[in-house]
Amino acid sequence: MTLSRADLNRWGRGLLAAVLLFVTAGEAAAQFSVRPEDPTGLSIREKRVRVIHSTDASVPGTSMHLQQWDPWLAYQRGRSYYFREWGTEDGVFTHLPNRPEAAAATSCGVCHNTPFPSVGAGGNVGISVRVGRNAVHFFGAGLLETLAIQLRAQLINKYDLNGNGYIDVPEESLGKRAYIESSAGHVLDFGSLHDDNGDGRPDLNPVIMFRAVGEDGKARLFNSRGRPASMRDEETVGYDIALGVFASSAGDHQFPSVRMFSTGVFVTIMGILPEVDSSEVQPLGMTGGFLTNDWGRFSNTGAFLSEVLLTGDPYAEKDLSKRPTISEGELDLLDWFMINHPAPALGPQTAQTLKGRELMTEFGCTSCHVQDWEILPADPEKNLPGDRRFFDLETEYNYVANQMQGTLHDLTVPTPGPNGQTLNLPKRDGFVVKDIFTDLRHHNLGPRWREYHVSGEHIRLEAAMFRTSPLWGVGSTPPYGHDGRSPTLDHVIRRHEGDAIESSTAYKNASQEDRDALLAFLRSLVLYQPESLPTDMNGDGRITTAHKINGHDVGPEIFRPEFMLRKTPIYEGWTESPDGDRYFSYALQNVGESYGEYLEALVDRDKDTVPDIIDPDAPRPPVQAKTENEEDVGELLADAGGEE
Amino acid sequence: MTSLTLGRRRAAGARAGRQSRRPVFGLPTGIAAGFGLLCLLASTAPVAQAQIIENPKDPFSFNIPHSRVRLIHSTDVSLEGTSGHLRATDPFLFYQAGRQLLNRQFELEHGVLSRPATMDVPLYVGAAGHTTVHGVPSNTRFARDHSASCGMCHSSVYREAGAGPTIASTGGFGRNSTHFYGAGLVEMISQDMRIKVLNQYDLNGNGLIERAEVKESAPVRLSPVPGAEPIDFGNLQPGADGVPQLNTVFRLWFVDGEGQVLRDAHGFRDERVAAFGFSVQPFGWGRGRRMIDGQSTSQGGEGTTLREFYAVASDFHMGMQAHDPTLQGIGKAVDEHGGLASVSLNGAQQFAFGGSTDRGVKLATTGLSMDDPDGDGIFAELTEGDIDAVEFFLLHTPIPAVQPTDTSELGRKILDEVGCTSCHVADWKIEARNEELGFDGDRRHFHFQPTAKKTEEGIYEIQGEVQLLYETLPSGEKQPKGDAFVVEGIYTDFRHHDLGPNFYERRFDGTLQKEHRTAPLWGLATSSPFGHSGNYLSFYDVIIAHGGAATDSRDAYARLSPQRREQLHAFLRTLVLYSSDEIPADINGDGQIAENYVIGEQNYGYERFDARFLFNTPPEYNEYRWIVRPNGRRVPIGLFTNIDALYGLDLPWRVDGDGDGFPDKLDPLPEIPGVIPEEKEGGDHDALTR
Repeated sequence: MTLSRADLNRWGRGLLAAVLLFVTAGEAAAQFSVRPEDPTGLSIREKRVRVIHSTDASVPGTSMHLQQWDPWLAYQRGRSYYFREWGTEDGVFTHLPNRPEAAAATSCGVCHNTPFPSVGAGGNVGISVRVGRNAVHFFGAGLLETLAIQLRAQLINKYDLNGNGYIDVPEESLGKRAYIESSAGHVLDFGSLHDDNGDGRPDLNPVIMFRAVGEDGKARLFNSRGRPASMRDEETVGYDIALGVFASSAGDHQFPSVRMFSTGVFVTIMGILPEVDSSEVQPLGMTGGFLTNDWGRFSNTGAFLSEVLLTGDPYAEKDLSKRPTISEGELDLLDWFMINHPAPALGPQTAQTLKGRELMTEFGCTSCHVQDWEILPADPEKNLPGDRRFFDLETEYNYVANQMQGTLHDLTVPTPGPNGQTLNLPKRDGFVVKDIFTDLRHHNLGPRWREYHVSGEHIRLEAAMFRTSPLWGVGSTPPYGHDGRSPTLDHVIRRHEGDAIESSTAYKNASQEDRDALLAFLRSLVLYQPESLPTDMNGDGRITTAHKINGHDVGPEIFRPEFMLRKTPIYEGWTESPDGDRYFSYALQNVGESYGEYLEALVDRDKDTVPDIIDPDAPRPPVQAKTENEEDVGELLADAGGEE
Repeated sequence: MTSLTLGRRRAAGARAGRQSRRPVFGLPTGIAAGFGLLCLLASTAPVAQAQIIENPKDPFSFNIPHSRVRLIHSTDVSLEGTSGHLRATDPFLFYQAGRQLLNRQFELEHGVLSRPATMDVPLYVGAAGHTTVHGVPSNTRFARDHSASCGMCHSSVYREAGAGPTIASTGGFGRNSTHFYGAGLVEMISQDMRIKVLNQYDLNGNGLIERAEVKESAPVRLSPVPGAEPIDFGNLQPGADGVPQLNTVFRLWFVDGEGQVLRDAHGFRDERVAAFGFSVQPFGWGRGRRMIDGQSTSQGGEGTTLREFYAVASDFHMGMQAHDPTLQGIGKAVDEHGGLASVSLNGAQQFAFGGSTDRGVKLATTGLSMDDPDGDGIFAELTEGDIDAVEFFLLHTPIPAVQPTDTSELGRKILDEVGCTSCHVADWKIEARNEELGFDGDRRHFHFQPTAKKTEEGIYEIQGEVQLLYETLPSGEKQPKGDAFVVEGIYTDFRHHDLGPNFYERRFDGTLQKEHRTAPLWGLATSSPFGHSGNYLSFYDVIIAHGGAATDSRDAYARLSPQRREQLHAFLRTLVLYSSDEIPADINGDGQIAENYVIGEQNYGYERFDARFLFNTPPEYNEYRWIVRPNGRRVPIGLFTNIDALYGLDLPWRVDGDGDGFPDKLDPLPEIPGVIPEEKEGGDHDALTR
């Protein structure tokens, strides 16, 4: 068991201190608020508990236990962190960096939520040195992230010939180009592994971030002169890589995982300092112990993390007012929700859209907007992750009902876990990601995209290469371009020059009929509101209007993650409204049971958000442990409470 | 009080200088260093999300290049730098000042976001005692204070009064953010509607409808343009429940025999009630009805005027309270419950439906409100002058455009044939100024007209034209002419309709809202998703979802051949928004759009509606280099060198000597940053108040 008693004690102190600062009671609230009685069932159900991070399922209610034992509960609790509007009692805006963009919004969902509620796209936001950034959607983000992890593994497998885990310079880099297959037979060039232009970085496509490795075989952030480490440093013997797929250009919030992206946002936008990893912090001289430097770790969901992940160590911080305010366990659940969120869909197809799909190839769009990518089955020896999701929501347009419909596919396999539990672990099979339409690379699209900033007395080119935007969902996510400065699809296509000049010229010169067909196809690449989607949830091949689970009426069969919880939700059901009409109310009658508030590590009787298991101020006696591991957990509780 | 607000109160007094940035409360050095590292590793500054920020070093000139200085309200045009003066003498500067306030990302030191996630916004309009309903979620709407700028939600098109995301409002499915292109025209149409009803039925001319005046049936029928079929807005006469049978776009208040607004009266069944007043609320998707003691009471539209909409939204969504006497009820009005407020600087009748959330109970000798209703230590977060500027900008926001293709006009006819235009009414007329009849005429100083022009490339490009609507008086004052104006292609009847179950909204308390406004279709194509909840992602989905009052049209649409349906969609796709300062535009009225627009010695690149080009003092900047914009046109980029003169920051009523954001004429301590003496913080500062 990785969660030690000492850990629990230490965490208890840190969390409690953070909580004590914000003694205001009252509901926490949201993009969605905590409203278990919301008759639409879309608000947040459960009160916030600072979920404890764990790396196995030993202690019920900890993050890994939830992920493995009741993955839908982990998903649904993770959803709450996405839509939650963080309030004063959460410590919002208390850890803002000193920059003008800070304190912009109180929820992920303020910017990324269309269609609502989902992890959809949003409007445009401003930044200090550029003209604006369009808020992207995160439908299918887990698939995109897995491709990034897979590509890193494939590149290392292919070019790290001596198997030391990194690319030796120059032995393994000189004269080598990084070629990767997106799917069988479709090869993409990701640039030169060597620093031929002498700028200190391998001449790889900018989507690939690199980290210098020193003679000791460890990643180095800085060279002996205190400058960012480069390939030109004498002490650099090689480098490691990661694919920063969640960014429109290099350096633009470029992170290899959605977890790191969101962690950064918690600090920069909301001033909420995420809690330290449970793994040992390796303080760096200049950073006061706030950064970890183990490039290449993976989160509970298998997300690639690097040292730029900004985490605080509550234990190291002596000033109570500066203690962290979101726990690592909560980040685990948010991560789980986001990597499992359903992918975009293909809307109704007509002869026109089918022709448009063909024209994508004919015009040459698909040379960069690559249609499909293949996730290979997991292979631990090759570090191939496989499909890390626990379900797939297959969507298909029903031409009879004239609506989008879903089919839920379980991607887990029952596995024996600790304490006699049966866990549901992802199978990690292969998966073909269809119609994503990106090569993941960055390209020079000509002058209409470039961005500049002023440095001293000089104006400098800030960004000239931008990632190939994945086109899935593009029909539902205007405006277009990384900067959102193209209001229509026609505008953004005509804006392509540079690497894409031939394709955009083909488009411009095409007949209006052909252009209309192409645009019609793009408009059919859509997002949707998943929680209203008629869906075959139980695999019986039908979608009913009156769905029942374990004898409980849950309304029409739609994609409601709550339906899949281990403890079936009990809704108020058919009821008469104050206005006299009858409707199906999703007001939840058994929040505590269905949301696992009885699980040891989630019990929080004094409602201060710190689980009793680590809360020295929790009411006594401690809760009775409810697993077979009763004695062990009881001891933990006593130990945790005894020291303060 | 929490440690957070204490810290901010201290911060406000101690450090609000022109040079200062946000307060750095509780920022561990490690975090700062961490971000330094992040910057280095990423080779550039990290991105955060925000709206337009203060940044004098933005070479594109999109960011706001100067610190915030509150505007001072005045109707005296001789007070240089006040709202009245700027409006009358430098209207494009006043426009830009309002635009900046809408786009600006407010910072914590401006008082934004001080009660994040607090649930005290009442579920129903005008609900009494809503400030004390913490912890009772079923009686509240969304949580307050969730964004630092209007532009967070109204951002497509970016930097414009655009459309945007959905937020949880009165129910779980939320409300989609609408655009405000052409909002001034909407306001003027709605004010005309009220005047027309009063002219017909308010026989004694007291602005109220007495029992006697609605003894007989008093149908409200309004023609959008002369000669057009009148639109049925219901009847002023009370129904069986004593409530006038008006469309819910009307919001009512009831008064006693003395004309005193009764906060708890809902109809003529109440014997105290002698008359009612009303306003038209065209802004928002509509709030439907609420049953109170068997009376079906209108919740109105949402916002009555541009001014009120902004002031209320600033409080609820950003936590910025406005001290705006213009919005405070006069006579026997009761704030938040109805009655008249003042006529604004920009000529719009205001109503007592809230907005001045900073009441100004305690005023400094300079007139500055010292109330600080949210207790964050920041006084007078928005001033009456600020709201004047915002109102002026919104009054002038450019209208949406039509960007056709060679064949898209075919669909316009189908819109008629299917019957869509019986509710999505295309054109409305704003009446010319007529003091006898009470019409104000077009209150704008200028109109920005977008027109699609076919280019050599064979595509239709939207080009703009600034058309001046004012006359210059001998005093030099620029005054709107008050002509009539026909608003074309807005496609709404301003009514609320029951469109059937697909559009019903289940409120948090289980009640059902059936009525929503007829969405104006202008700008439709670039403001997806559709419907009040943003639940519909395609034209097909949203049209086919129509039922109720639109059943016949929906059925007619469903019967269209796929080809004709596509023609209809193709027309709807021409109804677009655009970036008003990026499209090429004729701004000097010479009938041309210059490739190189030159003022004095300065070449600004292609001619476009950057309002600064039309300021009394035009911009000067260091020209760094020429770049290509997304539309393929070339402009120079650089930094302004005359910021104070350009933005009028050196005018007597704008000068802010201590750089604390309070202009000297408003600042009780004009030479010391902050507005209260530091030693008296939290204690007695009565000496400064009146």
